[in-house]
Amino acid sequence: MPEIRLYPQDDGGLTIPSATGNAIYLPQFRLRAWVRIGGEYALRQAILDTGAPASIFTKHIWLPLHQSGRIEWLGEPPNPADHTVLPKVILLRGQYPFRLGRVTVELADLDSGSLRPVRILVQCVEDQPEREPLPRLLILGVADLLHGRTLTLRASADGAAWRGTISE
Amino acid sequence: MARSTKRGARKAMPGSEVIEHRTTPTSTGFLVPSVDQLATELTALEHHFPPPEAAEIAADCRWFQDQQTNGGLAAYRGMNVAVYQKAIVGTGANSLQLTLDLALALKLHPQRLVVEYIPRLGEFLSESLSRA
Repeated sequence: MPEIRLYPQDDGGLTIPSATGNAIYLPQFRLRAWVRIGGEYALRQAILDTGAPASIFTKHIWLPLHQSGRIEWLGEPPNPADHTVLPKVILLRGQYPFRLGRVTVELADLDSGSLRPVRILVQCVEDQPEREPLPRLLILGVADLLHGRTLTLRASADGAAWRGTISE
Repeated sequence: MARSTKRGARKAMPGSEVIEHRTTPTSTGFLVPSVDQLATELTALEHHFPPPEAAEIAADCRWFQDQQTNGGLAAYRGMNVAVYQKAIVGTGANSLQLTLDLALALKLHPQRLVVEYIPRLGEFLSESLSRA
């Protein structure tokens, strides 16, 4: 059964003082995977967001893909037109206009091959140059990507060790 | 030694003339290449090099992943890092500029480089948590 490994990791959360004087740590777990997009050679690290219906790419990710013809635009393709007509997505601490597109994504395992490529819906965010640019961000939503697949997460009894996979 | 890239430099494509970046004014008064120009140059540069080897890219990704898992990238928080041959060969605020500069300097297909952003502590926390 083809399977790829995920990389759950605490990126560094918040330490909050409590009434008893003992600090409480709230971890910030991120589930990461490696992907190839649109048949590229490059491998990129993505964050898998199990609460997101669609994937999100910031402009540093999607613009080179667009220029090499790897995005199928579902509405207006990128143009210098006024971005105020575009729908917006709340991302980190701001609202950003986006265009919808479809790309081919291949989940890859760094040691043992990859899953079959699938077409996924992507919100391509216009975060430049109008406002403070977002960091290079590649978020994978679960729609399309997990169709017909199984996401497995296992945590040790003390929560210190996590293991994740996606199989088909 | 990781090299830090500077914005606004002129870049020479292999075997061709110097390319002028289209620039965008910024609040600091400096002129930097637009993201559109950088993406165009990166895409064009790919045609000047043979395709990279998938196994070599995967080896560098494994190295990056090990560093990330073991906390070896903490010094690079808030930056993009570029990995080549199991070493960090460059850092920068602009991932496209970083990739372009290093691909030209190292004479590599741009997609041979593993370029990833290292988030700051708490940078991706949700708004409700960050207000806590």
